[in-house]
Amino acid sequence: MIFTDILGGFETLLNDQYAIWFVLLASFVGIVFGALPGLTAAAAIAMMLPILIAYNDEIGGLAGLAFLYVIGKSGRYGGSIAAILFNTPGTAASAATMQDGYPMTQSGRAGKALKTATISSAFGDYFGEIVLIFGAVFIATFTRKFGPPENFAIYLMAFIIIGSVVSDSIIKGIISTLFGASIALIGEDTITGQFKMTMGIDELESGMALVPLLSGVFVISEVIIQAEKSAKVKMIDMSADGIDDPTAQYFTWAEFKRCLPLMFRSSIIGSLIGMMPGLGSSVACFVAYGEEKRKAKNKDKWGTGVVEGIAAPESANNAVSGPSMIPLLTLGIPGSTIAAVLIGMFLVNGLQVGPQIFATEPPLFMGGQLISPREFIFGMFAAGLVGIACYALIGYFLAPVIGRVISKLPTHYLYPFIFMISIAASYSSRASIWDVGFALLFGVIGYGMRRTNFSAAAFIIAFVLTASMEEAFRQSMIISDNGLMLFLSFEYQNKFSYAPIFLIIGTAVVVFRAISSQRAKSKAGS
Amino acid sequence: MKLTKKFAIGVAAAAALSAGSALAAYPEKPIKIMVGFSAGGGTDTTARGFASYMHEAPSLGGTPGYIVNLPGASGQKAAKAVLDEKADGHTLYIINIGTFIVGELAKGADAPYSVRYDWDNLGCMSQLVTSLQVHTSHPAKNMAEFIAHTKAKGDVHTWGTSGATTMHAGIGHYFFDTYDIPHKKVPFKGGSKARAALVSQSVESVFGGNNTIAGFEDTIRPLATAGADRDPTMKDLPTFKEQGMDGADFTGLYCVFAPKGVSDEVKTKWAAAIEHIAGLKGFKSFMKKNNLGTFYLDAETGVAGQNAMYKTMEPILEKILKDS
Repeated sequence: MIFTDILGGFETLLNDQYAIWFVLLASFVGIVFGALPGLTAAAAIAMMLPILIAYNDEIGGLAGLAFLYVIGKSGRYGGSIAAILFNTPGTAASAATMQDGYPMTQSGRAGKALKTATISSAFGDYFGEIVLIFGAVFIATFTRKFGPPENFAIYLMAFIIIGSVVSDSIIKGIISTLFGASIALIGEDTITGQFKMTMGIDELESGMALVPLLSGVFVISEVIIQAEKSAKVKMIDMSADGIDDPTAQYFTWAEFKRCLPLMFRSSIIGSLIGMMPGLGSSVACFVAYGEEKRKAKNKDKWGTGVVEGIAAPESANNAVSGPSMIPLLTLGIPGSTIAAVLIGMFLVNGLQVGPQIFATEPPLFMGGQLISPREFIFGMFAAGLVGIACYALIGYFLAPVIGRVISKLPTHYLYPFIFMISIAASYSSRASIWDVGFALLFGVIGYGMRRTNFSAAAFIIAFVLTASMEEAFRQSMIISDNGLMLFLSFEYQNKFSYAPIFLIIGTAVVVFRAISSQRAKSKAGS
Repeated sequence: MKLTKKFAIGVAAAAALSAGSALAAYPEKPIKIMVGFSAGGGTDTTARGFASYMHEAPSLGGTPGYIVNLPGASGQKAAKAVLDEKADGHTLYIINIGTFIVGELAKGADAPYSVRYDWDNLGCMSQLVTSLQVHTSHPAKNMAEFIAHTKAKGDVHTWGTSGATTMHAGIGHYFFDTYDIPHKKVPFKGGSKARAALVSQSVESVFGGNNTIAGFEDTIRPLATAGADRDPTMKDLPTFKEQGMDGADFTGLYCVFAPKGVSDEVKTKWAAAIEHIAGLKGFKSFMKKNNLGTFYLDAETGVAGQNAMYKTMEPILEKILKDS
């Protein structure tokens, strides 16, 4: 059944007159944004989301969704180019790649490093995509049994996990999460219709919009940081002249075979981390790097420029991409910032995220054709599979050129240009000058958060989750006969409740995190 | 001299452009259709299907429509947003008259709008038909068995609906009050979410649209449908009236609404557009697959339907508000 669905997905993708071109474009745009130091796929998406929503009907629903979905993948990969060539992580997800990537560039083996990153990223991404396709369909049959109490428990678990794990400090993570949640509470009450926390500002009655927040926290804050640096990225000589290694610019077959088990293990790590809401690529790359270094026979060589030190984090960070969509598609809970933004694209196409997204009926009307939700989702999966191949091909042959062009870009033009686009995107989301003000305000707040290691990702995900969490809580309280005890009971409405299981998982994660954090502090002290 | 000539051409061009814009025929830009519920429910499905064919309506001159979902407060949040826009026909609202009126009546003096006085009905193209639905694991096969089973259980019956003050919610309240069944209502943001609650058996029954059953026939069993006659898309399903309950012999017409004060040109063009789209084979087929019927009713008939709905729902809402 699933194989037929996958073939159907390719048919949906290829029958769409725009989608395949948008996949190709997203592969390239994502690499460039990822490779620009400081800018991430989330920043690219924040700038392009209003345009894609505005032209959604013209380009057909699948093209816009595929574009954003593939940017998430290619952006993660693009970060490795900056890490390897400039010794600065293009994205947080590629921070671990720097440790062996840049030493390889210094030793005249930049080509080998880039090709290793490309192949490992594509391997991890394909692995993650397969986990997503089979995992989401399987899990969705199970999550159909979840009602408001389970949904609330999952939201709470996600809050706890995000808050406690996403930042270097549990307190900072939880504060970031609560901050996002409190911003989400501004506006009209979902049940009573009363206005909350609007401070008498009419524009706040309909709440804060996502795009100005994304623009502020991810784009404007980065522009401020770049303005502070006011220095161009420097790229050292990439030529292998004088290097006594004929394979200096290639990832050899022998190296590939040597790295294959490691790429496989790292992809499993990335996929598992990807399924947990809020963790994401930056955690996955360090866990995989640390784990493989611990296992390696030549661990003393790690950090000096070994291909394994690139293959492990790159497989892991891209393997996060697919599975991070599983909570979104099966529960309606975004597992990453990109997944949070994609909710908007699903909604403009008439799709409610959650387990019913895999239904075969009733049809949606899209791009002049009737299409089932399941066909649409498998069209997106097919776009992901094609997108991986596209960015891998572009990266394999053009990564050095892209790096060279970026190193020559005048930052005093580039970042002001990006700033203006983000301002335009903030305005166009609701045609409100207030949203421009909010974007600027959250640019400054985001800058402060980044400088003090508060988590921007936790802030955004909490912002997106809060309204649904509040709704699930209120519905649960109506269903409940004994108040909050409903969430601790294994039964309601004469059916089994999974809610306590999720709360136990959330609590266990916090306890585990607190203990490991305490141990790390004790170790550092001794 | 050259400069003066260029200046004159510029002034003439600007004058021509401004005159053109002053006399521009409606519509001048794509038309925004607001939907007050989340994706996947009856209102969203109808509005999306309808908007997909708007560019084919000759009276709209190929202008496309697009949907903006703004769920909340049983559609009232979106209604308020439409009223905040200019009454120029470029922002319209699609909703069923039942939910539109129930929302107003439920809020009484605090209602953010009056369907009669703040809106122009431009015509109707479909209808929302409420039914009592249970999970297929429920023992009841008809309304009598459902009542007997629920009363025998003796506890407070938990039921879901697409919003606190929708037409479905009004009929649900009326049903349980008629049969003296103690009950509590769980409102969801739209029919698709209420359906998910029934599929997960988090609520015991749902009062929702017949359209939400499409594709879920293995999991959801409708027991009785509202309306004077059986729903043409579900001919085997008996009405409440056939099974002994009067007072639910109405359906909610899906109509296009504009803020009061749109020009006659807008009204005329929309009457023609709705009639054209409702007759299109593609639109009919799409709606049928979603368990929704299609027809055309002009604005006058739509307003008559509204007046009848006020008459029907006023006593029901009065009783609900009194009891609560």
